Amino acid sequence: MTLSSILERVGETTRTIELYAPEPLPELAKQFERRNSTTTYRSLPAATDDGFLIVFEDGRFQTSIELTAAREFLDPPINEPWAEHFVGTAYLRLLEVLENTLMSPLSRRQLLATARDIEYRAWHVGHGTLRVGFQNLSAYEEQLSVYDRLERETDLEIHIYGEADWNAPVGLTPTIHRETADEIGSFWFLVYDGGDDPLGPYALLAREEDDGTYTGFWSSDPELVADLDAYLLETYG
Amino acid sequence: MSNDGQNSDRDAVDPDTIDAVFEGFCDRDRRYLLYFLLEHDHVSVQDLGNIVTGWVKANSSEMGHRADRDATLCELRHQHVPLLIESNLIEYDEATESLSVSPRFEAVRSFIERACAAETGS
Repeated sequence: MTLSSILERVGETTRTIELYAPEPLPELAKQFERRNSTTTYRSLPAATDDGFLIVFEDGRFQTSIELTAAREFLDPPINEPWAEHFVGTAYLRLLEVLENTLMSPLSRRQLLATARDIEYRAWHVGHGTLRVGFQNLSAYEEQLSVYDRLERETDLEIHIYGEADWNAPVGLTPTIHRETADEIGSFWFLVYDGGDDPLGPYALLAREEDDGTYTGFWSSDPELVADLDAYLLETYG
Repeated sequence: MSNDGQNSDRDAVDPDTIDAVFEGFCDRDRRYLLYFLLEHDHVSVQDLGNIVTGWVKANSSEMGHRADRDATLCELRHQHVPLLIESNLIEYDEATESLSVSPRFEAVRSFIERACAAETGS
């Protein structure tokens, strides 16, 4: 198993997204176009002020959501994990709608917003194991204040992975894994096992492409999250 | 009213047609079905199950799930579609399991458009 093979596994499911709106939405349609998938548009009466999208998995209705939330995906809000207004935002509903969907291209902002959702879950459950791959440890340096607080104020076991382009100050408590494997340098991931909360497990896995965008997915599938967690533990500790 | 030349804004709509429209309108799923037919001449019942679920939920800022869709499709098939056929607002093609608009729908198209704007517009 490799991180790439897990990405491929998620890409095997065929998903179709139908957009319903008064006017075509090429920007949104492009965002949701992916390998092995199609996006179709059907018009709603002009007087309608918004619309909705439906996600089909292997031809079957999976979920639907209003387009207001979908538009937010193009420029998602970035909240701190402990922000009180985090719950119930349209963006979180969109993450649920699009989970287990291999998406490309994803921007760093979209991934950061999704990562914050996972950190939020971990923060609220307060225990369990959180494994975070930053590609380079210098990227972790930018998130140090967030992870310092997660570490200090919860019982989470936090593991940080990255290529060693930054020397962490001595005395930091999250376990830092300085790696040289290619996949650690090219994958951004967060894997939270959920502690003992059955709704807690959640993972994000995304590969950086040559143009600087990402191809990836997020998932609350407990089996998939457990596989990722076990792979990281066995391979990198 | 409709632009097919048979009616104008000054024509009175017969009372049976008004009854049919109000009976059709008194259920939200049926209204959204009629709103979608404003824009599309033919739609399968299967597709309407998806569309009515997604649209009604979206207007309440809620997600629709497969169970919602299954329940909506069941009600469309057994309740709403038969009622709308009975009231001559829509026509049904058994071979393709699809709906299309009827002359009576065209006679009250402007009513349906106004309701659609009031319910789904800003």
